[in-house]
Amino acid sequence: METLFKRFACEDALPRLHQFIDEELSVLELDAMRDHLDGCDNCAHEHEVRTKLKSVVRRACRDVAPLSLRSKVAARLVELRRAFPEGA
Amino acid sequence: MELTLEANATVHTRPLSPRSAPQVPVATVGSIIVTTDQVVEDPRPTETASERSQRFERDAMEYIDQLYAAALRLTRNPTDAEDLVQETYAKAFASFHQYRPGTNLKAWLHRILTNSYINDYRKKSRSPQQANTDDIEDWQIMRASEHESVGLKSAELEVLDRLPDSRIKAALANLREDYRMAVYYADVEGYSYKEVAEIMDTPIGTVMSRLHRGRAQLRAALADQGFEAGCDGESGG
Repeated sequence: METLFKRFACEDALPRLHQFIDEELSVLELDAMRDHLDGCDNCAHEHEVRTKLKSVVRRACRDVAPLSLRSKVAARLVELRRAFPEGA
Repeated sequence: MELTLEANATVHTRPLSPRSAPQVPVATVGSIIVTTDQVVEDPRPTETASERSQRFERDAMEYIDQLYAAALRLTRNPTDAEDLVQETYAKAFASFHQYRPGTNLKAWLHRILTNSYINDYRKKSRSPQQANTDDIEDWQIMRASEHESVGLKSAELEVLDRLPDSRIKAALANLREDYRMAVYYADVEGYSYKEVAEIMDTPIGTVMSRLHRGRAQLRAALADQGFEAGCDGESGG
């Protein structure tokens, strides 16, 4: 099939996999990457695992600031605003 | 932890404030000539200092969870993380006149947090510093490399899905600080490489290699934990 992009081999695709997952590839690279992943089970699985890793890290790190910290920061900011009415 | 505003005021060249700007056709900021065209960039030229402070309180408080989460990753200790967040807000208040409206406020705050940690904080940290473990862990990267069979990778997907958040956080905490924060900013906060580079004050190429190595080490560590959990009889099949 005729393509507008230069086709990727595994050695082109794997080094760009993180950029693909992080949405950092150029449009032409994106097309070549999608085309390669469609036809290569090995790279497609690698893509799946790395995407999963990214999503589990995101899921795990949703920490919520303690209420006490929230109040301390809010109080401090009011204090600073009064101490520096002209701005910092 | 006490923070002096004087220390912050000297860090950057102060840009033209909206109060002094309108009547001056041309001014000098550092060595850069600023024309009126550039001065009117601020979309809120009539805002008073007090209004600006209130805007800061309102807008910046929105990101306290994300700042606390980043501080936890950096300090690996809730007490230190709270101190770091408070210090970050005080510093951000002091330099809010430098924030350009319309740019990413959360990223700006994360950058201040990172700088505060590196400049003032790391020395006093309660957590011990980690050695550079790059060389010893290269074998782990090899193990988690691209040459496994498809069957092993399917098992790895299941392991990742089953791991509790606490295990993932612990594995992240064990990464080198620069790898850990690159992974955190890219994966959790979803920043672009350019934004991570600005927050961590490093070239984009360095961000990419930190991400590559950080993720590979994290993956190897989590795979090990998954196999251990499997041996404990947790894997139901």
